[in-house]
Amino acid sequence: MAWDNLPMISAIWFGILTSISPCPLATNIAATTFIGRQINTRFGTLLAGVAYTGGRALAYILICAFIVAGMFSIPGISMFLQENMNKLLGPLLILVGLFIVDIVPLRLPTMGGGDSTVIRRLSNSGAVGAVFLGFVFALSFCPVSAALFFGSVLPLSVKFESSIWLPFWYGVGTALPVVGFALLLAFSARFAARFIHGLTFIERYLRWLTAVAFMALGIDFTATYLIGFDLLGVVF
Amino acid sequence: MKNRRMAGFAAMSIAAIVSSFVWVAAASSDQSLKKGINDKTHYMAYYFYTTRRCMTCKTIEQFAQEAIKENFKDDLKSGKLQWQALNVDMPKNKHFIKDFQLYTKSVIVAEYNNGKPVRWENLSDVWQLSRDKQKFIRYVARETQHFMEKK
Repeated sequence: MAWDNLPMISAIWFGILTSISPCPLATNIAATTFIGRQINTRFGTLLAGVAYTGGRALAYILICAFIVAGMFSIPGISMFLQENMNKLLGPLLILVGLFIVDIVPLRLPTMGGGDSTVIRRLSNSGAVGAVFLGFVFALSFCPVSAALFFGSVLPLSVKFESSIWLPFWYGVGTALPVVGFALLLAFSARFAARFIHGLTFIERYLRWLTAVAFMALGIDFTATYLIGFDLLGVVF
Repeated sequence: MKNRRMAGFAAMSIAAIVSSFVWVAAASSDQSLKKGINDKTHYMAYYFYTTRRCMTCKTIEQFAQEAIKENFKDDLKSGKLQWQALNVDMPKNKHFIKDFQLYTKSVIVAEYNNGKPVRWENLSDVWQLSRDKQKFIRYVARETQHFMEKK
């Protein structure tokens, strides 16, 4: 029985290894603050965490499906995503940062109108944003994630003929540390809210913290990957 | 006078013999190196990287180079094995991405015959072992040895 679960455990472990390596550190910080700030509802952080995990898992499942279907070659898709997604990520992070603090208002499509629409409610809970964020961050491969996904998870998926579940568990593994830290952040924030100015103040503070984190990382990514100038002098 | 000439001739003969030995030794070592690279089977241990370097990537290059240089001194000296770190972003090296199916920075061992790669292996576990230098070096040395022993 334990041996049956070995591929799943391996996929989760590869995901955790990816997540705790230095290279996705920047996107992990952004994701942690984004998920951790969802404290205005009781299960907001958990919901955003699950949505973020789902977004990541979806990206890995799609890549795996395309490769298994023979639509992409492994070197082709891996090198393309490593080269181009990080270029896209800089401006995108800056834009998301501006959305978060409403400097640039985000107009979501409504189905049926009014604030009671599902999309509006999901948007307020941060779930839609978290799915999107998870999906985009998962596609922004760095050398470590490319090595572990294309070199370890994909061969496992082929070997065990599991092109959905193993990429899914890998996605769960990559999100686990981020969601864990986000829950810790949210718990600390809710705890702090009891003593200082209440939940609204803390929520506003976290919103700005998230926006600043996104914009700072966006500027760094833009400088590093688009302009070719390592702002911090370090490429994780 | 005659004795002096004889001594001079002897000294020149000795010098000529010594220098010819030195020349033959140097030439044969040079020849074996060239032979190793061009004429028959030889092995390459590569580290492929891109222009943008990351912390883990630099660590992997350093450990892999150390593993090869410390464990294959004789093979490196004879030319049977060579170490090379190459940037695949450079146009002349781009073909290696297709040749060795590279999907990230990689350590590859390859067998060449008459200048053409006949088989290769991606030491993909280097990414999982990059936090443990001893295990990493043991892994690269062991896999390279196995690869060179396989026929």
